[in-house]
Amino acid sequence: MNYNIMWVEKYRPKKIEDIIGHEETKTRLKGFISSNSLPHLLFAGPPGTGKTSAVIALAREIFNESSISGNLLELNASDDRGIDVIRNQVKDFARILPIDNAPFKIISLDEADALTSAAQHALRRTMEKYVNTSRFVLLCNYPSKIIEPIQSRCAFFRFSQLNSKDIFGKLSQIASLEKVDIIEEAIETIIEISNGDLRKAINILQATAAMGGRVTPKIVYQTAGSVEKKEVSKLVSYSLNQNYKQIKDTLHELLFNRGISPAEILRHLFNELFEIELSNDGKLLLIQNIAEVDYRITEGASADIQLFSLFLSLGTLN
Amino acid sequence: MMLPLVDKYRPVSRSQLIGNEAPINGLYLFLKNWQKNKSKPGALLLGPPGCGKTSGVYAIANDLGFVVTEFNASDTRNKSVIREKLGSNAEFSNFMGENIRKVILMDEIDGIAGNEDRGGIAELIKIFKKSNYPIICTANDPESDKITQIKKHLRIFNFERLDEYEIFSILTKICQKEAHAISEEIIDKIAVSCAGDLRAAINELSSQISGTEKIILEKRDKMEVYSTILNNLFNSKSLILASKSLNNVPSDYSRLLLFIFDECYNQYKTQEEVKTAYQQIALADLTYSRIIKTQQWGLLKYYFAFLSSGLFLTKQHDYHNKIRKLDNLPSSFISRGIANRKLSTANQIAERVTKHLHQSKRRFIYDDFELFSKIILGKGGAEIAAWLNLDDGLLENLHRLNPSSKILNNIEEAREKIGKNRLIESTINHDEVQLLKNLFSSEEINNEPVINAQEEHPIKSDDKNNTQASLEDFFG
Repeated sequence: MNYNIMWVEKYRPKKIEDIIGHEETKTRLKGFISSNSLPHLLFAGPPGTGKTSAVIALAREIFNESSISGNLLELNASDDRGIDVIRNQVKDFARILPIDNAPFKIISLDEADALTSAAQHALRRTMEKYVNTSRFVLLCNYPSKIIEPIQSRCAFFRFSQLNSKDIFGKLSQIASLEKVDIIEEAIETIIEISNGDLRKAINILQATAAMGGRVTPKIVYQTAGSVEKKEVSKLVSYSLNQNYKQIKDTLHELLFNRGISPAEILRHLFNELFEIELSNDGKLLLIQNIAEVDYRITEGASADIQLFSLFLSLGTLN
Repeated sequence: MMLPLVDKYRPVSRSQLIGNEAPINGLYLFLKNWQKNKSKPGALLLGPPGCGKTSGVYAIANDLGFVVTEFNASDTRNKSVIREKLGSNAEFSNFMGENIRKVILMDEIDGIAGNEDRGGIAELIKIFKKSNYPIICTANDPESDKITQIKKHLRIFNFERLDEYEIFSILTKICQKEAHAISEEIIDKIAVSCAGDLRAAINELSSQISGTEKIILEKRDKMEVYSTILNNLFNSKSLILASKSLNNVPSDYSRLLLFIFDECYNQYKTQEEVKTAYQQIALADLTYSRIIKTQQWGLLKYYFAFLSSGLFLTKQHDYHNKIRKLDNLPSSFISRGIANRKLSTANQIAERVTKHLHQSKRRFIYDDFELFSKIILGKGGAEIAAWLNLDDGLLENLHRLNPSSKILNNIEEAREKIGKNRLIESTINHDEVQLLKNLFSSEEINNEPVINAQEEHPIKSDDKNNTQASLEDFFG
């Protein structure tokens, strides 16, 4: 391919071997491939640690290049999480024989922990019934949300957070292949912001490279839509000084103009907790407030209003 | 015949009604299931002018096949007239047979005049008790002492002002049907200025169409409505008054919250007060989001309680900063609009690209869209856009996020380049398909699989194309 595509796809590992980290998992998966027998699989771990890549690499090693699309079904549970998906789409796919003399098909269910429990029960039956034609790979963040009967039918693999050194290696490799002019500190900033999520890290790298100049930590902060620590500190000092209008304006700027997620602001505030000049009781209350606001926002409340209220309360905690 | 627009476009079915869904549905069910002596004798529709009370009754009656007999303010409505006209109408069953049903509409009941229509209300209540048909009354002012007696006999439905989006959409439709090209700007102006009164808005529109009058809209200024409400709220002298101050809020409730959000910190003195006040606002916001999510509109009373009583009780000092006339939309309103537009762009793009990127739409929208848009709008982005088959409409939406991007200039060239590459790739695939076909036809059906399921035999795929086609159906 001699044109530009998304780097997360371009540099997705082609073989199990190419996946970063997870040595033990890779050895076991390779064992399955060489013995040509694969159980149902359950991959659990935070985003961007290589779960999807493992499925795709697995498919590439088991199937011929041309028959991958016919033998691999990828479903995102969160898009159509109902029981109907399991009943119809998955079943219809599972009952058709694999093409190209492949030993079986692979059905990958991303975000399986978002499946309703009814759908999971429907899935359990399907997994047994079509075991001659299909193998299931379930990907999730939290294995505890997968029902027992399914867990017991799968070989379990934990994908733990990637370490910074591995991510650094991968990012520098891509940067040099793509001829990105990036300084070392900027790569470290990317790693810090992406929080162990390789997918996010590669996306940030590509977005900063798309700016067209030399990539510095500052550019990274700007592009990644990430708040710099000092902006959150500013909000804190406004609230200690009762500068209501400035709190409001800063929040609007961050949330609406720069598109920074409220979770990001909360994360920074939480990380800075111990540097804020508050009494111990105040800190304790602040933790409670942050937790409450975080939950409210995920529940659907308006980020600007909830955050504003949080920062006001911060000012009175002493 | 030239009907006034208001009558020409009066809705004839429930499905054409705009806004006020809860009371409309309530009224529909009430009338549908109405039985003499078992149900309340009638309903009282309360709400500001032009929000669809009368139209609602006619449209529902039409849907249910009821005949409407209307008495309005133009009729004299004193004791004897009501007894004669209404009484005879209400008590006689229809000779034509039971299946013709009727509903009696007493429009503008608070307009029954004190002197001329003496005894009218008392007579009306008597008739309620005997009527063979449901009697529907309408009134504007829920506090009017004329209706306090009537209230307890009737089922009450509260109608709200329409919001400007609802009015805007109706006006636009009328303009299209009338084939009049009136600029969106003017329609927008009318919609905003009529303060929720659809009738006034349509009348304004028809005078625009006939071009006889200039817009004189100041009187019905909606911002005025909000500043009055806010003044009443923050200036309340007692808890009761405070809780009543939000009784007549336009139906766009979330906007009220944003106005209060903008003004609130000017209304309190100590830091502690301000903090508590915004805690109330945050709780109201949370309640509202729960209402929207669960559609439990019964919770709305708590939303108002946080904003009215909650804010009143927060106040430690008797202190009021008069709110000048609000002349702007709430500060976050526009930014939120932009944020919403962005979200809908993200949604459309997610629809297209998540299959290529092996991830779910939700994750793409919330985690990756920001970066994705920067990648597309930056250097080399055009090729990626072409690779993902993003069409011009989507690219224009994306382009708005960063107008300095050159994506729109580069896209054609990129498409051509990628098109050529695709052609090469697809010819390779084509050969492989041919190869596969030959393979299958030579092997025939020798390797039938063994599966014991009786009702569902595995389907043998004839060739690759067939499977491909059905696969595309799965991906939808």
